[in-house]
Amino acid sequence: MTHQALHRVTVRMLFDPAFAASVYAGAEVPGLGTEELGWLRAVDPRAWSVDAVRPERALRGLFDEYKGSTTLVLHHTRSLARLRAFFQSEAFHREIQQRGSMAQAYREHLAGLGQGLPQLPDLLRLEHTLAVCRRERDTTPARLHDPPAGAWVARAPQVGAGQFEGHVLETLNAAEQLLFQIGLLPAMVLADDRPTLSLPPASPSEPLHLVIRPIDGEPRLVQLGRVVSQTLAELDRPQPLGRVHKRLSERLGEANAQRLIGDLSRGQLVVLG
Amino acid sequence: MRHLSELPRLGVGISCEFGGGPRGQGLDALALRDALPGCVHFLEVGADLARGLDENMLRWAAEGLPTTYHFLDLNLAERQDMDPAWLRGTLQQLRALDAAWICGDAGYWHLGRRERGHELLLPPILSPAAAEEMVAAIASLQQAVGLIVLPENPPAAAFVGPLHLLDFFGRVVAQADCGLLLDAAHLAVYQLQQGLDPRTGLDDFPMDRIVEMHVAGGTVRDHRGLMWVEDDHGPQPLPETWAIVEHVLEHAPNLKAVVYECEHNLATEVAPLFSALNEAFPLEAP
Repeated sequence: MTHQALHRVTVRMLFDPAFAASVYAGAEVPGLGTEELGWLRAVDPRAWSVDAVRPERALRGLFDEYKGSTTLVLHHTRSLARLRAFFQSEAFHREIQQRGSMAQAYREHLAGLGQGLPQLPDLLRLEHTLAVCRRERDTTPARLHDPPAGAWVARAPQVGAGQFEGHVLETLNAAEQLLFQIGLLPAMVLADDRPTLSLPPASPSEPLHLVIRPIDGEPRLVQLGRVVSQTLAELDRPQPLGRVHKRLSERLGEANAQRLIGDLSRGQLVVLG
Repeated sequence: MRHLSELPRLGVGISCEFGGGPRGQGLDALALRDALPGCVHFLEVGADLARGLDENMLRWAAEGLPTTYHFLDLNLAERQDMDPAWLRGTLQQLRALDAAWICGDAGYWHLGRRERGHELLLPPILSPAAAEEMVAAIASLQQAVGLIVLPENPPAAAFVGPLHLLDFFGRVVAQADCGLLLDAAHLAVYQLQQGLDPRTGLDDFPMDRIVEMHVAGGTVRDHRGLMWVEDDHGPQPLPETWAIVEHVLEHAPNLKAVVYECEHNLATEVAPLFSALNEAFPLEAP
Protein backbone atom coordinates (compact mmCIF):
# COMPACT_ATOMS: atom_id res chain seq x y z
CA MET A 1 0.00 0.00 0.00
CA THR A 2 2.78 2.42 -0.85
CA HIS A 3 0.25 4.63 -2.63
CA GLN A 4 -1.59 5.15 0.64
CA ALA A 5 1.63 6.12 2.41
CA LEU A 6 2.39 8.45 -0.48
CA HIS A 7 -1.06 10.00 -0.30
CA ARG A 8 -0.59 10.74 3.39
CA VAL A 9 2.73 12.39 2.64
CA THR A 10 0.95 14.65 0.14
CA VAL A 11 -1.49 15.66 2.88
CA ARG A 12 1.42 16.58 5.14
CA MET A 13 2.95 18.61 2.32
CA LEU A 14 -0.32 20.49 1.82
CA PHE A 15 -0.41 21.57 5.46
CA ASP A 16 3.27 22.00 6.25
CA PRO A 17 5.29 24.12 3.79
CA ALA A 18 8.52 23.44 5.67
CA PHE A 19 8.02 19.71 5.29
CA ALA A 20 7.19 20.17 1.59
CA ALA A 21 10.38 22.17 1.11
CA SER A 22 12.40 19.43 2.81
CA VAL A 23 11.01 16.85 0.38
CA TYR A 24 12.15 18.98 -2.55
CA ALA A 25 15.52 19.51 -0.87
CA GLY A 26 16.11 15.77 -0.97
CA ALA A 27 15.00 14.63 2.46
CA GLU A 28 14.27 10.94 2.92
CA VAL A 29 10.65 10.16 3.79
CA PRO A 30 10.10 6.93 5.72
CA GLY A 31 7.97 4.49 3.77
CA LEU A 32 8.67 6.01 0.37
CA GLY A 33 11.20 4.85 -2.19
CA THR A 34 13.13 6.74 -4.81
CA GLU A 35 10.39 6.26 -7.38
CA GLU A 36 7.61 7.71 -5.21
CA LEU A 37 9.80 10.62 -4.12
CA GLY A 38 10.45 11.30 -7.79
CA TRP A 39 6.69 11.47 -8.44
CA LEU A 40 6.33 14.00 -5.62
CA ARG A 41 9.20 16.13 -6.82
CA ALA A 42 7.80 16.19 -10.35
CA VAL A 43 4.94 18.40 -9.09
CA ASP A 44 5.49 22.17 -9.26
CA PRO A 45 6.30 23.03 -5.61
CA ARG A 46 4.01 26.04 -5.72
CA ALA A 47 1.03 23.76 -6.32
CA TRP A 48 1.03 22.62 -2.67
CA SER A 49 0.19 26.08 -1.38
CA VAL A 50 -2.42 27.43 -3.81
CA ASP A 51 -5.02 27.16 -1.05
CA ALA A 52 -3.50 29.66 1.35
CA VAL A 53 -6.13 29.30 4.06
CA ARG A 54 -6.23 25.50 4.18
CA PRO A 55 -4.48 25.36 7.59
CA GLU A 56 -6.80 28.02 9.02
CA ARG A 57 -9.87 26.11 7.89
CA ALA A 58 -8.59 22.98 9.59
CA LEU A 59 -7.74 24.97 12.72
CA ARG A 60 -11.22 26.41 12.72
CA GLY A 61 -12.72 22.92 12.86
CA LEU A 62 -10.39 21.93 15.67
CA PHE A 63 -11.08 25.14 17.54
CA ASP A 64 -14.81 24.40 17.46
CA GLU A 65 -14.18 21.29 19.55
CA TYR A 66 -11.44 22.73 21.77
CA LYS A 67 -12.65 26.30 22.19
CA GLY A 68 -11.84 26.66 25.85
CA SER A 69 -8.46 24.96 25.71
CA THR A 70 -7.38 26.90 22.62
CA THR A 71 -8.39 30.17 24.24
CA LEU A 72 -6.42 29.33 27.38
CA VAL A 73 -3.36 28.38 25.37
CA LEU A 74 -3.45 31.57 23.29
CA HIS A 75 -3.88 33.57 26.49
CA HIS A 76 -0.90 31.73 27.97
CA THR A 77 1.49 31.84 25.00
CA ARG A 78 0.27 35.08 23.35
CA SER A 79 1.42 33.52 20.10
CA LEU A 80 -0.67 32.56 17.08
CA ALA A 81 2.48 31.27 15.42
CA ARG A 82 2.97 28.67 18.12
CA LEU A 83 -0.63 27.53 17.69
CA ARG A 84 -0.23 27.32 13.91
CA ALA A 85 2.95 25.32 14.46
CA PHE A 86 0.53 22.46 15.06
CA PHE A 87 0.96 21.59 11.40
CA GLN A 88 4.69 21.19 11.93
CA SER A 89 4.26 19.12 15.08
CA GLU A 90 5.36 15.53 15.40
CA ALA A 91 1.84 14.64 16.58
CA PHE A 92 0.22 16.05 13.42
CA HIS A 93 2.59 14.24 11.08
CA ARG A 94 2.30 11.00 13.04
CA GLU A 95 -1.50 10.98 13.14
CA ILE A 96 -1.85 11.78 9.43
CA GLN A 97 0.72 9.18 8.41
CA GLN A 98 -0.87 6.53 10.64
CA ARG A 99 -4.45 7.26 9.51
CA GLY A 100 -5.16 8.59 12.96
CA SER A 101 -7.07 11.54 14.34
CA MET A 102 -6.22 15.19 13.75
CA ALA A 103 -8.16 16.10 16.91
CA GLN A 104 -5.97 13.74 18.92
CA ALA A 105 -2.85 15.43 17.53
CA TYR A 106 -4.27 18.87 18.28
CA ARG A 107 -4.99 17.87 21.87
CA GLU A 108 -1.38 16.82 22.27
CA HIS A 109 -0.20 20.07 20.74
CA LEU A 110 -2.33 22.15 23.10
CA ALA A 111 -1.12 20.14 26.08
CA GLY A 112 2.47 20.84 25.08
CA LEU A 113 1.87 24.56 24.65
CA GLY A 114 -0.01 24.85 27.91
CA GLN A 115 2.54 23.23 30.18
CA GLY A 116 2.55 25.02 33.51
CA LEU A 117 -1.02 26.25 33.06
CA PRO A 118 -2.88 24.56 35.93
CA GLN A 119 -6.38 25.03 34.50
CA LEU A 120 -5.57 23.38 31.18
CA PRO A 121 -5.27 19.61 31.81
CA ASP A 122 -8.81 19.16 33.10
CA LEU A 123 -10.35 21.53 30.59
CA LEU A 124 -8.59 19.65 27.81
CA ARG A 125 -9.83 16.36 29.24
CA LEU A 126 -13.38 17.70 29.46
CA GLU A 127 -13.38 18.98 25.87
CA HIS A 128 -11.87 15.70 24.74
CA THR A 129 -14.69 13.80 26.45
CA LEU A 130 -17.22 16.02 24.67
CA ALA A 131 -15.44 15.37 21.36
CA VAL A 132 -15.56 11.61 21.93
CA CYS A 133 -19.30 11.77 22.70
CA ARG A 134 -19.89 13.82 19.52
CA ARG A 135 -18.19 11.14 17.43
CA GLU A 136 -20.35 8.43 18.97
CA ARG A 137 -23.35 10.02 17.26
CA ASP A 138 -22.12 9.01 13.83
CA THR A 139 -21.33 5.36 14.42
CA THR A 140 -21.57 2.74 17.13
CA PRO A 141 -18.51 3.25 19.31
CA ALA A 142 -15.86 0.55 19.35
CA ARG A 143 -16.17 0.38 23.14
CA LEU A 144 -19.62 -1.23 22.70
CA HIS A 145 -18.39 -3.97 20.41
CA ASP A 146 -18.09 -7.52 21.73
CA PRO A 147 -20.50 -7.50 24.69
CA PRO A 148 -20.27 -10.46 27.08
CA ALA A 149 -22.64 -13.40 26.87
CA GLY A 150 -25.85 -13.04 28.90
CA ALA A 151 -27.36 -9.85 30.26
CA TRP A 152 -25.07 -6.82 30.19
CA VAL A 153 -25.05 -3.10 30.79
CA ALA A 154 -22.91 -0.30 29.38
CA ARG A 155 -22.82 3.48 29.16
CA ALA A 156 -24.99 4.52 26.22
CA PRO A 157 -23.49 6.00 23.04
CA GLN A 158 -22.90 9.76 23.25
CA VAL A 159 -22.90 9.60 27.04
CA GLY A 160 -19.75 10.47 28.98
CA ALA A 161 -18.83 10.94 32.60
CA GLY A 162 -15.88 11.93 34.69
CA GLN A 163 -14.50 13.67 37.73
CA PHE A 164 -12.93 17.06 37.09
CA GLU A 165 -11.26 19.82 39.08
CA GLY A 166 -13.78 22.16 40.67
CA HIS A 167 -12.69 25.09 38.51
CA VAL A 168 -13.17 23.42 35.14
CA LEU A 169 -16.63 24.78 34.38
CA GLU A 170 -15.73 28.26 35.58
CA THR A 171 -12.68 28.16 33.34
CA LEU A 172 -14.72 27.03 30.35
CA ASN A 173 -17.34 29.68 31.04
CA ALA A 174 -14.68 32.39 31.25
CA ALA A 175 -13.29 31.39 27.86
CA GLU A 176 -16.74 31.19 26.26
CA GLN A 177 -17.71 34.57 27.74
CA LEU A 178 -14.62 36.16 26.19
CA LEU A 179 -15.27 34.53 22.82
CA PHE A 180 -18.87 35.72 22.92
CA GLN A 181 -17.76 39.30 23.58
CA ILE A 182 -15.21 39.21 20.77
CA GLY A 183 -17.77 37.63 18.45
CA LEU A 184 -20.03 40.64 18.91
CA LEU A 185 -17.38 42.97 17.51
CA PRO A 186 -14.37 41.02 16.16
CA ALA A 187 -12.46 44.20 15.31
CA MET A 188 -12.06 44.79 19.05
CA VAL A 189 -9.02 42.49 18.99
CA LEU A 190 -7.16 45.49 17.53
CA ALA A 191 -7.92 47.69 20.53
CA ASP A 192 -5.58 47.99 23.50
CA ASP A 193 -8.49 47.98 25.93
CA ARG A 194 -10.16 44.86 24.51
CA PRO A 195 -11.61 42.42 27.04
CA THR A 196 -9.17 39.86 28.39
CA LEU A 197 -9.48 36.42 29.83
CA SER A 198 -10.11 36.35 33.52
CA LEU A 199 -9.39 32.87 34.83
CA PRO A 200 -10.60 31.47 38.14
CA PRO A 201 -7.89 30.46 40.59
CA ALA A 202 -6.65 26.91 40.18
CA SER A 203 -6.54 26.28 43.90
CA PRO A 204 -7.76 22.88 45.16
CA SER A 205 -11.53 22.66 45.47
CA GLU A 206 -14.31 20.11 45.61
CA PRO A 207 -14.16 17.98 42.45
CA LEU A 208 -16.99 18.13 39.95
CA HIS A 209 -18.73 14.93 38.87
CA LEU A 210 -19.98 15.64 35.38
CA VAL A 211 -22.14 13.69 32.97
CA ILE A 212 -22.41 14.35 29.27
CA ARG A 213 -25.61 13.42 27.49
CA PRO A 214 -26.99 14.21 24.04
CA ILE A 215 -29.63 16.89 23.80
CA ASP A 216 -30.91 17.54 20.27
CA GLY A 217 -27.97 15.50 18.99
CA GLU A 218 -25.29 17.65 20.67
CA PRO A 219 -23.43 16.58 23.82
CA ARG A 220 -24.39 18.70 26.83
CA LEU A 221 -22.94 18.84 30.33
CA VAL A 222 -25.12 18.04 33.30
CA GLN A 223 -24.38 17.50 36.99
CA LEU A 224 -26.12 14.37 38.28
CA GLY A 225 -24.04 13.70 41.37
CA ARG A 226 -21.05 11.59 42.27
CA VAL A 227 -22.72 8.17 42.30
CA VAL A 228 -24.26 8.52 38.84
CA SER A 229 -21.10 9.98 37.36
CA GLN A 230 -18.84 7.31 38.85
CA THR A 231 -21.16 4.50 37.82
CA LEU A 232 -21.33 5.75 34.24
CA ALA A 233 -17.57 6.20 34.10
CA GLU A 234 -17.12 2.58 35.18
CA LEU A 235 -19.50 1.34 32.47
CA ASP A 236 -17.28 2.33 29.58
CA ARG A 237 -17.52 -1.20 28.14
CA PRO A 238 -20.36 -3.73 28.33
CA GLN A 239 -20.20 -5.62 31.61
CA PRO A 240 -22.25 -8.53 32.96
CA LEU A 241 -25.35 -7.07 34.56
CA GLY A 242 -25.13 -9.38 37.54
CA ARG A 243 -21.59 -8.30 38.32
CA VAL A 244 -22.48 -4.61 38.07
CA HIS A 245 -25.54 -5.10 40.25
CA LYS A 246 -23.45 -6.89 42.87
CA ARG A 247 -20.80 -4.16 42.89
CA LEU A 248 -23.39 -1.40 43.21
CA SER A 249 -25.28 -3.31 45.90
CA GLU A 250 -22.13 -3.47 48.02
CA ARG A 251 -21.85 0.30 47.84
CA LEU A 252 -25.48 1.41 47.86
CA GLY A 253 -27.54 -1.47 49.10
CA GLU A 254 -29.51 -3.80 46.87
CA ALA A 255 -32.68 -1.72 46.52
CA ASN A 256 -30.75 1.44 45.65
CA ALA A 257 -28.59 -0.45 43.16
CA GLN A 258 -31.69 -1.83 41.45
CA ARG A 259 -33.27 1.62 41.35
CA LEU A 260 -30.12 3.25 40.02
CA ILE A 261 -29.78 0.83 37.11
CA GLY A 262 -33.47 1.28 36.31
CA ASP A 263 -33.20 5.08 36.43
CA LEU A 264 -30.11 5.11 34.23
CA SER A 265 -31.80 2.86 31.72
CA ARG A 266 -35.01 4.93 31.64
CA GLY A 267 -32.92 8.07 31.31
CA GLN A 268 -31.12 6.50 28.32
CA LEU A 269 -27.77 6.91 30.03
CA VAL A 270 -27.03 3.20 29.84
CA VAL A 271 -27.94 0.49 27.37
CA LEU A 272 -28.94 -3.01 28.44
CA GLY A 273 -28.30 -6.05 26.33
CA MET B 1 -26.79 -4.77 -12.89
CA ARG B 2 -27.89 -3.08 -16.09
CA HIS B 3 -25.46 -2.55 -18.94
CA LEU B 4 -24.43 1.05 -19.37
CA SER B 5 -26.36 1.33 -22.63
CA GLU B 6 -29.57 0.34 -20.79
CA LEU B 7 -29.35 3.13 -18.22
CA PRO B 8 -32.04 5.81 -18.54
CA ARG B 9 -31.23 8.93 -20.53
CA LEU B 10 -31.70 11.78 -18.06
CA GLY B 11 -30.82 14.73 -20.28
CA VAL B 12 -29.48 17.93 -18.76
CA GLY B 13 -29.64 18.45 -15.01
CA ILE B 14 -28.32 20.55 -12.16
CA SER B 15 -26.37 19.67 -9.03
CA CYS B 16 -27.06 20.69 -5.45
CA GLU B 17 -25.62 20.33 -1.98
CA PHE B 18 -27.18 20.22 1.47
CA GLY B 19 -28.62 23.48 2.75
CA GLY B 20 -27.71 25.32 -0.40
CA GLY B 21 -31.11 26.91 -0.93
CA PRO B 22 -30.44 30.06 1.07
CA ARG B 23 -26.95 30.41 -0.48
CA GLY B 24 -27.78 30.30 -4.14
CA GLN B 25 -30.99 30.85 -6.06
CA GLY B 26 -30.24 27.94 -8.38
CA LEU B 27 -30.19 25.49 -5.53
CA ASP B 28 -33.98 25.41 -5.38
CA ALA B 29 -33.99 23.10 -8.36
CA LEU B 30 -37.77 23.05 -8.70
CA ALA B 31 -37.87 26.83 -8.90
CA LEU B 32 -35.11 26.78 -11.48
CA ARG B 33 -36.97 24.12 -13.44
CA ASP B 34 -39.99 26.43 -13.51
CA ALA B 35 -37.88 29.44 -14.42
CA LEU B 36 -36.21 27.62 -17.31
CA PRO B 37 -38.93 25.44 -18.87
CA GLY B 38 -37.63 22.37 -20.69
CA CYS B 39 -34.04 22.92 -19.52
CA VAL B 40 -33.62 21.10 -16.16
CA HIS B 41 -34.60 17.43 -16.32
CA PHE B 42 -32.92 15.85 -13.30
CA LEU B 43 -31.25 16.73 -10.01
CA GLU B 44 -27.85 15.48 -8.94
CA VAL B 45 -28.00 15.35 -5.17
CA GLY B 46 -24.67 16.01 -3.51
CA ALA B 47 -25.01 14.43 -0.08
CA ASP B 48 -23.26 12.98 2.90
CA LEU B 49 -24.49 11.24 5.99
CA ALA B 50 -23.40 13.92 8.42
CA ARG B 51 -25.95 16.38 6.98
CA GLY B 52 -28.46 14.07 5.29
CA LEU B 53 -30.95 15.28 2.69
CA ASP B 54 -32.45 18.77 2.78
CA GLU B 55 -35.93 20.02 1.99
CA ASN B 56 -35.15 21.02 -1.61
CA MET B 57 -33.77 17.56 -2.41
CA LEU B 58 -36.75 15.78 -0.88
CA ARG B 59 -39.26 18.07 -2.57
CA TRP B 60 -37.70 17.28 -5.95
CA ALA B 61 -37.81 13.55 -5.26
CA ALA B 62 -41.38 13.79 -3.99
CA GLU B 63 -42.42 15.13 -7.40
CA GLY B 64 -41.22 11.83 -8.88
CA LEU B 65 -38.53 13.60 -10.90
CA PRO B 66 -35.27 11.80 -11.74
CA THR B 67 -32.26 12.06 -9.46
CA THR B 68 -28.71 10.83 -9.24
CA TYR B 69 -26.77 10.51 -5.97
CA HIS B 70 -23.36 12.20 -5.69
CA PHE B 71 -21.63 11.12 -2.48
CA LEU B 72 -19.49 13.63 -0.61
CA ASP B 73 -18.15 11.32 2.07
CA LEU B 74 -16.62 8.17 0.59
CA ASN B 75 -12.96 7.57 -0.18
CA LEU B 76 -13.07 5.41 -3.29
CA ALA B 77 -9.28 5.47 -3.14
CA GLU B 78 -9.39 3.43 0.09
CA ARG B 79 -11.08 0.08 0.01
CA GLN B 80 -11.56 0.06 3.77
CA ASP B 81 -13.57 3.29 3.81
CA MET B 82 -16.96 1.76 2.95
CA ASP B 83 -17.93 0.68 6.47
CA PRO B 84 -21.32 -0.85 7.37
CA ALA B 85 -22.63 2.35 8.98
CA TRP B 86 -21.87 4.39 5.86
CA LEU B 87 -23.42 1.79 3.64
CA ARG B 88 -26.58 1.54 5.76
CA GLY B 89 -27.12 5.30 5.83
CA THR B 90 -26.32 5.79 2.16
CA LEU B 91 -28.72 3.04 1.11
CA GLN B 92 -31.49 4.84 3.02
CA GLN B 93 -30.74 8.09 1.23
CA LEU B 94 -30.53 6.37 -2.16
CA ARG B 95 -33.95 4.84 -1.58
CA ALA B 96 -35.44 8.15 -0.44
CA LEU B 97 -34.36 9.69 -3.74
CA ASP B 98 -34.86 6.64 -5.98
CA ALA B 99 -31.52 7.56 -7.55
CA ALA B 100 -30.70 6.26 -11.03
CA TRP B 101 -27.07 5.68 -10.08
CA ILE B 102 -24.43 6.66 -7.57
CA CYS B 103 -21.44 8.80 -8.44
CA GLY B 104 -18.82 10.99 -6.83
CA ASP B 105 -15.32 12.33 -7.02
CA ALA B 106 -13.10 9.27 -6.89
CA GLY B 107 -10.32 9.97 -4.48
CA TYR B 108 -10.34 11.11 -0.86
CA TRP B 109 -13.19 13.04 0.73
CA HIS B 110 -11.52 12.94 4.13
CA LEU B 111 -8.06 12.48 5.58
CA GLY B 112 -7.72 8.90 6.70
CA ARG B 113 -10.65 7.73 8.76
CA ARG B 114 -14.06 9.36 8.47
CA GLU B 115 -13.96 11.82 11.33
CA ARG B 116 -15.22 15.28 12.12
CA GLY B 117 -12.70 17.86 10.88
CA HIS B 118 -11.06 15.49 8.41
CA GLU B 119 -13.06 16.67 5.38
CA LEU B 120 -10.83 17.47 2.41
CA LEU B 121 -11.18 16.58 -1.28
CA LEU B 122 -8.00 15.14 -2.78
CA PRO B 123 -7.29 13.03 -5.87
CA PRO B 124 -5.94 9.48 -5.84
CA ILE B 125 -2.30 8.78 -6.45
CA LEU B 126 -2.15 8.20 -10.21
CA SER B 127 -0.38 4.84 -10.08
CA PRO B 128 -1.30 1.33 -11.23
CA ALA B 129 -1.53 0.07 -7.63
CA ALA B 130 -3.88 2.90 -6.64
CA ALA B 131 -6.05 2.13 -9.67
CA GLU B 132 -6.26 -1.52 -8.59
CA GLU B 133 -7.42 -0.54 -5.12
CA MET B 134 -10.05 1.78 -6.58
CA VAL B 135 -11.29 -1.02 -8.81
CA ALA B 136 -11.83 -3.19 -5.73
CA ALA B 137 -13.60 -0.37 -3.88
CA ILE B 138 -15.96 0.30 -6.80
CA ALA B 139 -16.71 -3.39 -7.22
CA SER B 140 -17.64 -3.63 -3.51
CA LEU B 141 -19.81 -0.52 -3.73
CA GLN B 142 -21.63 -1.66 -6.88
CA GLN B 143 -22.37 -5.00 -5.29
CA ALA B 144 -23.52 -3.44 -2.03
CA VAL B 145 -25.89 -0.83 -3.46
CA GLY B 146 -27.02 -2.70 -6.56
CA LEU B 147 -26.56 0.38 -8.72
CA ILE B 148 -24.02 1.39 -11.33
CA VAL B 149 -21.20 3.41 -9.80
CA LEU B 150 -19.73 6.30 -11.73
CA PRO B 151 -16.37 7.45 -10.37
CA GLU B 152 -15.65 11.08 -11.22
CA ASN B 153 -12.24 12.53 -12.04
CA PRO B 154 -11.66 14.91 -9.12
CA PRO B 155 -10.14 18.40 -9.18
CA ALA B 156 -6.76 19.22 -7.64
CA ALA B 157 -3.92 21.67 -7.84
CA ALA B 158 -1.38 18.86 -7.47
CA PHE B 159 -1.61 15.40 -9.01
CA VAL B 160 1.03 12.83 -8.04
CA GLY B 161 1.90 9.66 -9.94
CA PRO B 162 3.20 8.35 -13.23
CA LEU B 163 -0.12 7.86 -15.05
CA HIS B 164 -2.04 10.45 -17.04
CA LEU B 165 -5.41 11.11 -15.36
CA LEU B 166 -7.29 9.49 -18.25
CA ASP B 167 -4.99 6.46 -18.26
CA PHE B 168 -5.74 6.01 -14.58
CA PHE B 169 -9.52 6.26 -14.97
CA GLY B 170 -9.47 4.22 -18.18
CA ARG B 171 -7.94 1.34 -16.21
CA VAL B 172 -10.39 1.83 -13.35
CA VAL B 173 -13.61 1.82 -15.39
CA ALA B 174 -12.53 -1.07 -17.60
CA GLN B 175 -11.47 -3.33 -14.73
CA ALA B 176 -14.33 -2.39 -12.40
CA ASP B 177 -16.90 -2.73 -15.18
CA CYS B 178 -18.49 0.57 -14.26
CA GLY B 179 -19.24 3.86 -15.98
CA LEU B 180 -17.44 7.18 -15.67
CA LEU B 181 -18.62 10.60 -14.68
CA LEU B 182 -16.28 12.76 -16.71
CA ASP B 183 -16.00 16.23 -15.22
CA ALA B 184 -14.98 18.28 -18.23
CA ALA B 185 -13.96 21.26 -16.09
CA HIS B 186 -11.77 19.11 -13.82
CA LEU B 187 -10.17 17.47 -16.83
CA ALA B 188 -9.48 20.86 -18.42
CA VAL B 189 -7.79 21.99 -15.20
CA TYR B 190 -5.61 18.88 -15.23
CA GLN B 191 -4.63 19.26 -18.89
CA LEU B 192 -3.78 22.93 -18.35
CA GLN B 193 -1.60 22.00 -15.35
CA GLN B 194 0.26 19.47 -17.45
CA GLY B 195 0.62 21.87 -20.38
CA LEU B 196 -1.41 19.55 -22.61
CA ASP B 197 -4.16 20.02 -25.18
CA PRO B 198 -7.54 19.64 -23.42
CA ARG B 199 -8.39 16.53 -25.46
CA THR B 200 -5.11 14.70 -24.82
CA GLY B 201 -5.79 11.08 -23.94
CA LEU B 202 -9.43 11.04 -24.99
CA ASP B 203 -8.67 9.22 -28.25
CA ASP B 204 -7.34 6.24 -26.28
CA PHE B 205 -10.02 6.38 -23.60
CA PRO B 206 -12.92 3.85 -23.62
CA MET B 207 -15.50 6.49 -24.50
CA ASP B 208 -18.37 4.02 -24.22
CA ARG B 209 -17.79 4.07 -20.44
CA ILE B 210 -18.73 7.75 -20.11
CA VAL B 211 -22.29 7.86 -18.75
CA GLU B 212 -22.39 11.32 -17.27
CA MET B 213 -20.55 14.59 -17.84
CA HIS B 214 -20.16 17.67 -15.66
CA VAL B 215 -19.83 21.14 -17.14
CA ALA B 216 -18.87 24.13 -14.99
CA GLY B 217 -17.10 27.44 -15.02
CA GLY B 218 -13.73 28.09 -13.41
CA THR B 219 -11.48 31.05 -12.73
CA VAL B 220 -7.82 31.27 -13.71
CA ARG B 221 -5.71 32.47 -10.79
CA ASP B 222 -2.05 33.30 -10.27
CA HIS B 223 -0.24 31.86 -7.25
CA ARG B 224 3.36 33.11 -7.11
CA GLY B 225 3.59 32.89 -10.88
CA LEU B 226 1.84 29.52 -11.11
CA MET B 227 -1.37 29.74 -13.13
CA TRP B 228 -4.05 27.49 -11.74
CA VAL B 229 -7.79 27.20 -12.11
CA GLU B 230 -10.21 27.50 -9.24
CA ASP B 231 -13.16 25.16 -9.80
CA ASP B 232 -15.66 27.76 -8.56
CA HIS B 233 -18.70 26.65 -10.61
CA GLY B 234 -19.10 30.07 -12.22
CA PRO B 235 -21.57 30.37 -15.10
CA GLN B 236 -19.05 30.42 -17.95
CA PRO B 237 -16.91 27.35 -18.74
CA LEU B 238 -13.33 27.86 -19.88
CA PRO B 239 -12.72 27.35 -23.62
CA GLU B 240 -10.69 24.23 -22.74
CA THR B 241 -13.68 22.80 -20.88
CA TRP B 242 -15.94 23.48 -23.80
CA ALA B 243 -13.52 21.72 -26.17
CA ILE B 244 -13.79 18.60 -23.99
CA VAL B 245 -17.59 18.89 -23.81
CA GLU B 246 -17.86 18.99 -27.60
CA HIS B 247 -15.55 16.00 -27.97
CA VAL B 248 -17.50 13.92 -25.46
CA LEU B 249 -20.88 14.83 -26.95
CA GLU B 250 -19.61 13.59 -30.30
CA HIS B 251 -17.80 10.44 -29.20
CA ALA B 252 -19.51 9.00 -26.08
CA PRO B 253 -22.28 6.61 -27.26
CA ASN B 254 -23.55 5.82 -23.75
CA LEU B 255 -23.69 9.37 -22.45
CA LYS B 256 -26.95 9.61 -20.50
CA ALA B 257 -26.71 12.76 -18.44
CA VAL B 258 -25.07 16.18 -18.46
CA VAL B 259 -24.92 18.23 -15.27
CA TYR B 260 -24.36 21.96 -15.48
CA GLU B 261 -22.78 22.73 -12.10
CA CYS B 262 -23.99 26.29 -11.75
CA GLU B 263 -25.98 26.21 -8.56
CA HIS B 264 -24.57 29.39 -7.03
CA ASN B 265 -25.57 31.61 -9.93
CA LEU B 266 -28.70 33.49 -10.94
CA ALA B 267 -31.13 31.78 -13.32
CA THR B 268 -30.61 34.60 -15.81
CA GLU B 269 -26.85 33.95 -15.81
CA VAL B 270 -27.17 30.25 -16.52
CA ALA B 271 -30.14 30.24 -18.91
CA PRO B 272 -28.08 30.61 -22.12
CA LEU B 273 -25.83 27.64 -21.37
CA PHE B 274 -28.74 25.48 -20.23
CA SER B 275 -30.36 26.15 -23.60
CA ALA B 276 -27.15 25.38 -25.48
CA LEU B 277 -26.62 22.13 -23.56
CA ASN B 278 -30.20 21.01 -24.19
CA GLU B 279 -29.80 21.74 -27.86
CA ALA B 280 -26.57 19.71 -27.96
CA PHE B 281 -27.88 16.93 -25.70
CA PRO B 282 -31.68 16.73 -25.90
CA LEU B 283 -33.67 14.64 -23.44
CA GLU B 284 -34.92 12.46 -26.26
CA ALA B 285 -32.04 10.91 -28.20
CA PRO B 286 -32.08 12.04 -31.84
